[in-house]
Amino acid sequence: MSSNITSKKSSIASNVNFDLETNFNNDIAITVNDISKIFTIYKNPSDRLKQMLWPGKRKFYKEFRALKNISFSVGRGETIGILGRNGSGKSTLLQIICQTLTSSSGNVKIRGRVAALLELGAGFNPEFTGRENVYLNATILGMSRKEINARFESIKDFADIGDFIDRPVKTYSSGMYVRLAFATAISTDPDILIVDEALSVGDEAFQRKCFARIEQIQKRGGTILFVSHSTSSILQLCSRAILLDGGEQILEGTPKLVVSHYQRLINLKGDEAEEVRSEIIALGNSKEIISLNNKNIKMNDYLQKDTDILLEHYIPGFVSESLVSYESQGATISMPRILNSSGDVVNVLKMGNKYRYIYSVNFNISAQKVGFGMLIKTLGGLEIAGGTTSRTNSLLIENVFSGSHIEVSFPFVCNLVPGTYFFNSGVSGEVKGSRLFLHRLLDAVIFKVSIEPEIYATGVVNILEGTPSTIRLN
Amino acid sequence: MTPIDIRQMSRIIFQMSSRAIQERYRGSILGVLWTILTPIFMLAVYTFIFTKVFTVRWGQDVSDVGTLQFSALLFVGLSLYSFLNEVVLQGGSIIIANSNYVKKVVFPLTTLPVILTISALFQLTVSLFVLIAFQGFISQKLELTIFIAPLILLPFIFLVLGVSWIVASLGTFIRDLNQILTPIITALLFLGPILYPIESLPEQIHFFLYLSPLTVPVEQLREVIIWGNHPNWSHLCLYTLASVGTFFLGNIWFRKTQKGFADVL
Repeated sequence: MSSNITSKKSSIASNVNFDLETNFNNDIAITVNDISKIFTIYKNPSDRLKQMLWPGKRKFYKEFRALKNISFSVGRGETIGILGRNGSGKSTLLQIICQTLTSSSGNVKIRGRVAALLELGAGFNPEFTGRENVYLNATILGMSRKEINARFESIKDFADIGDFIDRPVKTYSSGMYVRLAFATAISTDPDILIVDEALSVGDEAFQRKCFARIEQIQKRGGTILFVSHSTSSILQLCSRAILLDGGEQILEGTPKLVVSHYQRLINLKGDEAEEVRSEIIALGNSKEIISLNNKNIKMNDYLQKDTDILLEHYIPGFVSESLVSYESQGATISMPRILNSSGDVVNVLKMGNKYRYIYSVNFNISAQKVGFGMLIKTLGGLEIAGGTTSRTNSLLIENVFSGSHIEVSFPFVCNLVPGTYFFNSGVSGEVKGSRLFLHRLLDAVIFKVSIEPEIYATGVVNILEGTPSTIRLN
Repeated sequence: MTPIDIRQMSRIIFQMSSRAIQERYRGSILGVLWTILTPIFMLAVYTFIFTKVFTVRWGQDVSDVGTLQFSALLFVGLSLYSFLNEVVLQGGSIIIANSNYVKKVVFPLTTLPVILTISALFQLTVSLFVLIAFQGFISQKLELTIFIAPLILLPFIFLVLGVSWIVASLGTFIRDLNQILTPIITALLFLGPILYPIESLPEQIHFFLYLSPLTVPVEQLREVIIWGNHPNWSHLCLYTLASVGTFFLGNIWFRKTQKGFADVL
């Protein structure tokens, strides 16, 4: 994503219909009422003008529906996450809420000063220095010169770009650019902060600083609307979440619930996605969720159980796309899979649960001292843990004849932190006196460990037993 | 519009036009000094060309006009012309050039042509001061009527701004507008009394010349700055009316059509 800032003070929206009702409920910061957006695609720019001037109802455009009947409200002090696959309409929705885009129908009501981190640095001029750009950008955000003067030092400190503040922005690295833009946008002391993926740029230290600032705004009673693909930040920051898909709002509920459904949906395509989608919509329409919408955040037993099932399940479309099958040396590995304790095939695992990794091997030569192995790697290729039968004499199979069919099973406890992992599989044996790999599969199976709201483990492997505790010593 | 809107807008206008003025000379060695040097060089060039290269006369009235005076007369017309040229021509593409402000930031777009106008006005003002100094130098006195000049300039500026709003909007939808504007603006240079006095043309076609937005302000500005006469008040009144009309028409048109900008950028 290119970086940029968008922001507004509700009062400067001279070019939009800004609807501020006097009897508007004080506890509600944002009301989105039945928003739909149909993008009209014009072949020529001049057709847009004709459309505005044409007296009749002739259409000069093609339509594309980006949002359909979205309604929700955000209470003062709430933090809401918006999740959805690429192209689900998240950014369009945020742009409409920020009023950089007008909706085709429906309306948005906003109370308070909004800072929107949609595209950081949109108003920056590369020829001018950081200092000049801060002043200009802050003016666009609705600050007076006096206010900017008062805050300039803190903006400079937050951005932490040193002497570069007085150099032209074109000489900045992209990280510096975003840091300065973020610092400027956030300095407005917004009542409502709208964040769209903007935080995915910048190094980790800066990201932590941003999160700290967001939490500070939360503590002050600020309202935050947050779009991210990072499900862990949604779980960490939000009190409620909304799932968008294909421009429709298909689920609203606790972050935990929405995140797990989002993860089910994310890797699917076509009919499979359609199926899961209607399942989610059906769930969303059930009574329990409606009570959730009425700010009854407490989940009832039904949903709790449902979520547990969701933490461990099978996503049909989620298969390894990086599978490498080595040239067979007389054996073929087939059907690698993970089974849960009740014997179902899964590829989304729950931390701490027990599973079995199973695969079959067909032999078309005879081999001696045959052993089997498996290895778990991270998405980045780091080898974490594995198992083998070839180092223990009692497990080695002394003689395997051509035409044999052997299934091997590795029981394991899923002590991995949430993330995506791969299984490798291999079979080795002695053929005519020399030991060699009979067949190997790299990235044979891909699986995911579900995110849970309370995780104490860091790194890759969970070695903790129970909850860490603290004791006050004075 | 609430008062806060206007305050906010004027802050933006102030910030951005001072930046636009700086931007012209950023990086150049002489900087803002160029605003003064450019008109002085222009005056020198006119004086040389029109007196030494082409020996043209100012209308039929030969006796009155000396060489230097001739340059001053030309300079009035060309200063106003280049102001109009800049604001209208750049106005035609200003929305496309600032598409970030349309799509990515909540920004009062009506201010963009205003900022453009103010930045061009800065140059015009400096040029006119250079002219007044030059006129004072050649005639050894200054006419008190120069204080009427703002009354002539204001309607001109508002009219140009109104036109700029219209072309800014049209240029966004009709991309060939700039190709159309260039010959039209060049025609204005010759079809108005910029390089000659209006009297040098037959009376019957004066009416058509007055359709040019430059005719009245150029003629009247010459009266008050150079000849020390009072302006033709009835011309000025009519012109002011047309100017106010264009200003509001442009503003309304711009605000009515700006909601379509995001769809075509």
